[in-house]
Amino acid sequence: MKKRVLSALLSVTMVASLLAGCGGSTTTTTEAPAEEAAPAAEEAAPAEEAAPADDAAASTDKFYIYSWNTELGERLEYVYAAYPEIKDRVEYVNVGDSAIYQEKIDQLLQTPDAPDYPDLIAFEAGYIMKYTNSDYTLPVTDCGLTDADLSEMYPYTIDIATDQRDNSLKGVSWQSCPGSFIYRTDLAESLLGVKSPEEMQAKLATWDDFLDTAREIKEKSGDATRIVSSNGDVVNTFMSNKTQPWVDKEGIFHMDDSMLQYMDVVKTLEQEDLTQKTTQWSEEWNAGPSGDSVFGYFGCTWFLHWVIKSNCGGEKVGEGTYGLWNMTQGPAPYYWGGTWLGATAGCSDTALAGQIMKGLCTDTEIMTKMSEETLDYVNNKAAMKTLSDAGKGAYDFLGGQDFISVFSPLAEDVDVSWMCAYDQKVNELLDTQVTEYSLGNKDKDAAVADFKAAVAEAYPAVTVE
Amino acid sequence: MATNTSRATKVKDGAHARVMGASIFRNAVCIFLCFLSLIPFWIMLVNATRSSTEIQMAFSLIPSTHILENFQKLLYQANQNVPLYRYMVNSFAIAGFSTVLSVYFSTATAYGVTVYKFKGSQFAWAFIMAIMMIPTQVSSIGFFRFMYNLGLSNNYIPLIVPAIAAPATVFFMRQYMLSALPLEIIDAARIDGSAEFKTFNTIAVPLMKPAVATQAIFVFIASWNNFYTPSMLLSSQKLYTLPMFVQLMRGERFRSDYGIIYVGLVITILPIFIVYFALSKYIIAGVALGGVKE
Amino acid sequence: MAKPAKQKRKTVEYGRYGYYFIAPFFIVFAIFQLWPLIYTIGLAFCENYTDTMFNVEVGPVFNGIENFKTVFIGKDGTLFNTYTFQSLWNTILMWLMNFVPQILLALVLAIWFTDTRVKMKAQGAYKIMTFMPNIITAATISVLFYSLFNYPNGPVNQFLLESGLLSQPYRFFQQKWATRGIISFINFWMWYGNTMVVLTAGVLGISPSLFEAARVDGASSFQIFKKITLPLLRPILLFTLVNSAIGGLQMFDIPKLLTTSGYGDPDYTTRTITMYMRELAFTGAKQMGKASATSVVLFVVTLFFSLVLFYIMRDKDAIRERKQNKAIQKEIARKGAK
Repeated sequence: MKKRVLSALLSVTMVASLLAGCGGSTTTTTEAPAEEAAPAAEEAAPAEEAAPADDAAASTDKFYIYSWNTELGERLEYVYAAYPEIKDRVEYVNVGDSAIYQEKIDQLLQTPDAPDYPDLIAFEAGYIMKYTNSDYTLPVTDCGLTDADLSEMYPYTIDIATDQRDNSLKGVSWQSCPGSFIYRTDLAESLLGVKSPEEMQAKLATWDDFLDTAREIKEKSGDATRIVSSNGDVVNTFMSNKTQPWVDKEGIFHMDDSMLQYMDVVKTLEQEDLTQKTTQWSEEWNAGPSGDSVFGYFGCTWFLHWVIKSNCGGEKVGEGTYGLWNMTQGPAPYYWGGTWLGATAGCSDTALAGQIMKGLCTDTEIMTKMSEETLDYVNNKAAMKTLSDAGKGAYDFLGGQDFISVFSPLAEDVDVSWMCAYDQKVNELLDTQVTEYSLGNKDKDAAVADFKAAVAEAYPAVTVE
Repeated sequence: MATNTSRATKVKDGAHARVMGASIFRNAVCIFLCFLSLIPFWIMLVNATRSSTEIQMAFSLIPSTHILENFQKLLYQANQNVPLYRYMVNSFAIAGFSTVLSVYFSTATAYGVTVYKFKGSQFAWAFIMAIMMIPTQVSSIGFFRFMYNLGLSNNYIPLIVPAIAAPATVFFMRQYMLSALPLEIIDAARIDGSAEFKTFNTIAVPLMKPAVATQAIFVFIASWNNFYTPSMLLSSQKLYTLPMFVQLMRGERFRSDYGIIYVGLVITILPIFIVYFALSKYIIAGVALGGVKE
Repeated sequence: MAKPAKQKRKTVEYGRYGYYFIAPFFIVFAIFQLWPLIYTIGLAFCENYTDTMFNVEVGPVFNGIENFKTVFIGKDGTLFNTYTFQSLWNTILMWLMNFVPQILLALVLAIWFTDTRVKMKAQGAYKIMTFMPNIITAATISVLFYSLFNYPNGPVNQFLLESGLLSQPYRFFQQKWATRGIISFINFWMWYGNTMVVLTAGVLGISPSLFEAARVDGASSFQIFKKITLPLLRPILLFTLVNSAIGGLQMFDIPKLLTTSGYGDPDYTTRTITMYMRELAFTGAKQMGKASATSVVLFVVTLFFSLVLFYIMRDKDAIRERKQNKAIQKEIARKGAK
């Protein structure tokens, strides 16, 4: 008896696991019918009949778009709204973790036969060049994008995604992310007597000014307030102002002088106790905007909405610190982050890829709507101008300051000649040594030497001194 | 005589007091250790009842009132794409089948190398022990690439079937078998004319029940909690597991709602909690017996 | 009396069934794991990495033991002065830091739970609860411990400030010994319940009459522990040690997830060898060749540790006894045959 139960259980298990497996492998065709019963099944049937005709078969295949969070998926809804017929074909893959995302697409890009080989992939600024400077991605012209389509984009977003070997454009972005210093107006007035963004900018014009202001804030507030939350908050501004990339085209590593200045600024912040000494993205760091302990943040377009506004402890003027913020450029112009979209070398439907890229990143009408509803600073000058002219830039969260007119000139001026495919990893390696130096565990020479050793170790093909 | 007895009682009293003292001390230490073990569970539960802002502002051990709100938000977030129960069903399917396959075939493998003496049995056993010591971090890359090439990505097969070859489970089963499965019983069954596989299924497996229960819960927990392998292999959100869903919530680092994350964690751990308590009696006994013989 | 001989004959006869029983394991292993394993071992002897500049894979091309040279010899030509061995030392250190207190506490608890004079009625509950940290994911545990030791407002810091032990908050995760200590503590806390349950069973397996006899002879508790409990517990200690050594050398989750960068903050002092292997294989130039060589080294180290443990902990009496038994059986068999 027992044996029969067991063997029955076992065979059920085997069959079920096989079924589960098959269901997975042929998701493209069998999942949908199973889910939506009759109508979907009818759809699937003609598709099979049409299989011999190449074009028809291609148009029923799932079109895979890979990303690491929901952001791109939410923005794609604007494209679907304009072209509802493509929605069912797109399988949006949200990997959910930025590190695993890269591991996964790296593996998939090397196996074009995989059933879920990506058609479009998203890149973050930190590693985009690894893909755009390679044969794993297609030029956007192959997907039907023309120079005219690119005319309203901010130049830096094009520079970043251009293959440095043949100057072909490999990716497009729907957002532009110039950075600014976002600070508390009430604290500026009470602690520094500053009443306008221009006056604030004068107190942050250089890094020396920035440190002096930091000392003043600490002293006047009686240690209650610090200029920024974590020592790491200044990093993006410094990285954007390197005079040369970490690794040049000959594969030679360069330690820019601005990086030595960066190490010293962080050390001063640490040793003179000028920040809250939190860790970026930690719970306490996120909690900063709701209280009076942090004077300001270095933040860009998306940062303003998603970090400061969403953590300010209120949803309208008068609640929390809502309405008590202003923006100014800070010690140097910079940009931070952004997401690009590129077609893969084995993209199954370049026409669809082009349609999506155009809809998301070049269509002024769609992008205007997107910007208005999501407050994204979109990568479309015409769209931003329309909104600015319509007075949509005045933002009650910033006490009425026009965020579009602050960001517009900054977005035009972004220079990305310092970027290279090595940035993400090298910046991480630097960060470790900057921390050691700032804590006084190592002198500068030792920290720099350890940093260089780590770079040489991570990249055997790079010449380090 | 009288003095003698009184001294005896005194000695007895003294010993009794010492036993009492030791008992109080030992129980106190154990209660402290239990408290240490339970704290994280408590923090998790408490945070599930707190709003994101409360969690950010300060640490607390006192529950708040936002549990329903957090849970509704979680449901809303989940239902935008795939209903929450779907993730649960997926997780159950993967963990459940892996567990059954792993435990059954590990028992069979251990049975094979323990009960039968055949050419190469020593080598087979040494080989299984060696596999246990191989670090998998690097060969996993080969595994993923191999699965993609076979067209097995976005599929449950590579998440379930490899569970059949689980050297650690085999190791444990063998240790247990050495102490709990007398060969005489198998011989007796043979004399009764029982076929070998029947003997295994009807006599050996039932005798292994505590070990099976123990390994079942371990394999189930490991499979249920596994996040990395499914993340690398699955692409359709319909096929995602519960821990992958929690990571989707957590991955939104700009807009993280900590309340939702903690509710997600509690929901993830709840099924394991239930299974664990249901089987805890066997686990305590099973681990013990598996370890008895060298 | 002739039973052992009969049994032997039987098992020989049925031997082929052994293959059927172990076949599924080896078939599945061959399908899913063998190829990746051979591939990895092969790569250990090849030059294979990605040139990041234009994302071009270099190799795999056979290059002999070049990878092993870079694993063993540092840039300055010193043996073992490499990231691989630094991370191996970190791993061994953090394993010892959690394993030594773990086995000591587990032993003490096992002795308490089996003490016939001081009975602990609630021990079942204690066992279940101390076992529980095993069921949460490492990711969750890391997040919880990170917030416990957070700077400056984490509960541990608040407690230390309020109780006057510290005058200002301490940054645990920027001090290497504090971070190593926390990682070791988490591992200790996760696993001592498991070890304790196994050891308790071991003590219970020792015949109570031995303890009785020793006590009658006036032996102290410590003498009993040293002369009876410990020697007879040897097989189980071996099981525990080998298991823990394998697990400890592959320590990954907690140090990876607890620190901010995930690369062994501060300054790589908590980077374990498996973390380093993954860093090599997945980040930077994706140096598969070197990562594979490192993984071969780790396997050899694990094997070496296990063999040493087996050798130290081998039961000399049992070996002698087994030999004697065999001789007796042979004798019986010879006589029976006659």
